[in-house]
Amino acid sequence: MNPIRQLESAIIKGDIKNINAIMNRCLKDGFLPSEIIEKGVLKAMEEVEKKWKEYEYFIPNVLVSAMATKLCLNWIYPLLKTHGRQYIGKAVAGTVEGDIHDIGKNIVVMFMEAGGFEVIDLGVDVTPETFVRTVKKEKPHLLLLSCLYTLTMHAMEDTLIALKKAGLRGKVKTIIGGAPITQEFADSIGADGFGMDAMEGVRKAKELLDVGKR
Amino acid sequence: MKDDKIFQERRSRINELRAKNERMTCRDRALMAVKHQEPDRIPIDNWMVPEIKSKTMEYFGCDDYDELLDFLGVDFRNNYGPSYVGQTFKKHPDGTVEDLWGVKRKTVVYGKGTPHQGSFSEVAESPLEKLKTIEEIEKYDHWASADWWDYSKLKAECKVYHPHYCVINVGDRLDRTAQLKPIMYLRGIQQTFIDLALNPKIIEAIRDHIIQYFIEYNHRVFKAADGEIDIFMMGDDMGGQTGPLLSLDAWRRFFKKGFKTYIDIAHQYGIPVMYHTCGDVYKLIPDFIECGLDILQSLQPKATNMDIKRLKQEFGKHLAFQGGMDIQHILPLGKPEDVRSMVKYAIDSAKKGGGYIICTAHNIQVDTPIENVVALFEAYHEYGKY
Repeated sequence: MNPIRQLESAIIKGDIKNINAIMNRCLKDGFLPSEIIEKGVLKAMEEVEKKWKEYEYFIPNVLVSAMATKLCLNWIYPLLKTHGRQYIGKAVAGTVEGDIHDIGKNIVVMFMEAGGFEVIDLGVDVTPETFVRTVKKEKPHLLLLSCLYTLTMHAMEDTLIALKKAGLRGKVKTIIGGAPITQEFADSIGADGFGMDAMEGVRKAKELLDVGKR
Repeated sequence: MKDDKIFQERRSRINELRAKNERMTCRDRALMAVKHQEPDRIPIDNWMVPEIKSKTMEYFGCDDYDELLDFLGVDFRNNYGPSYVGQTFKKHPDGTVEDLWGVKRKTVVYGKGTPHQGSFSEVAESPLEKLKTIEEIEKYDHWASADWWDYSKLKAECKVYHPHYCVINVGDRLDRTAQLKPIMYLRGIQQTFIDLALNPKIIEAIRDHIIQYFIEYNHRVFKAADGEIDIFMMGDDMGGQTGPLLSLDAWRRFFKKGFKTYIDIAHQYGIPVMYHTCGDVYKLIPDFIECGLDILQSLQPKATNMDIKRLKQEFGKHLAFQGGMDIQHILPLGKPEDVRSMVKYAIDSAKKGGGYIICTAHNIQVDTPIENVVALFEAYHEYGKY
């Protein structure tokens, strides 16, 4: 089988054990990193998203597919850099203060990386001050905030207020997500975007940065 | 109960409605509903975080929580099981404390410095997370034991509520009879999901220890209670906001047998079973029924596929329901009229033929305004009459 097809299938199945061997073959057979991404990784991710939307895939499947994707990208990104390709954008991500739930955020980070973004993951229970400090230092295009509890939704608003006070609000686009989050809530606190799930979050990120039009 | 005029006025609406509607004991009302019969009014259960308990007691002028439950017309009283007499939970210098399973926990504060500040006990470290083989897992030396509990006072503690109230054996939130939750505590949430996809034997090994523990523990609980437990509640979150956390096939493979075993044990003692799960579990419900479940608890209305009207129509003949009140949006963010509409909708949808206990889909959280709590209970009594 064509190694790109093998790679696509391994990502869809979350076959993380075989990724390194398949990637080795892809590169040995002369496939370019950009080809591997476009014809293998992105196609696989589209299929994973389809299976998720159709309730064929659940969190365990999506998680291992995202992990498999990340393993591929560990090979590909250093090569892309040597080919002069850049990330399509930079994001800072974290679960907001008072909330230590990270599985949704971790999947978002993996999908963002797979989608071509450089992501700085600040982890969980991240204070507004830490977000502000990191945005100042890293100058990301995007800030991704996650929470699980309704109670910690307030911390998202606090973070956006802190950004505004620091004069950073217009300099970074914010996307929020998590079980209790709705578009209505995102609008009410002035977030730039909302993602119902990781895949939608990545789409929203690309939309906000006009990726494709650049 | 405080007699000041202001409190009397605040209590008057609920008192009036209850005097008009109620014709039986709480226990009879609740058990009729569980048996799919129509009592005098829809039975009421109550789940609140401690901060909301205090706020509501203060508002209505109640001196303690039992007084509040009595005034609100809550038909159920919780029994938290036997007393823990095992080794003292180990405290670590970093402030974490080990729980029943040897899982390190820490207190995480949310809403720091705001009026809705509170805290939860969260997992700080999962002891089995880094282990690679079943042999390593089998060597773990902190599996919980049914011997760590003193069951001698359990009967008396339940009996004190009889014959008036309906007693639910609920266990503790962190130690409630379950399968997936303790696996997640021990193995970590993310690693558990990975194992479900890639390392099924590890899931099975941990799960079997957990099931063995709960089988022994629950036999002892039910024996000791000697007929004084009216409902047994177990709880294991299998649903997310937009669907089950795992596929139906995976649920059948890993958890169906244990789920049925837990139900069968309670049924051996003649105790109906209530099962708590958050989220959308619509696809699993036919299997829950097949396993003999009596009451499905939570019915998180903002989760997909959990509309109470549809659930009642499709499964109401075989399954009773408890819950259905939204704590994600309407209670914390809505207006009292939204709360009333939510109560009316649920009651109109699920009242017919019994089989419905009204309650919030989880604890009323600290960010809920007191007006909404008041509207909730007034509406329970306003619309709940048969």
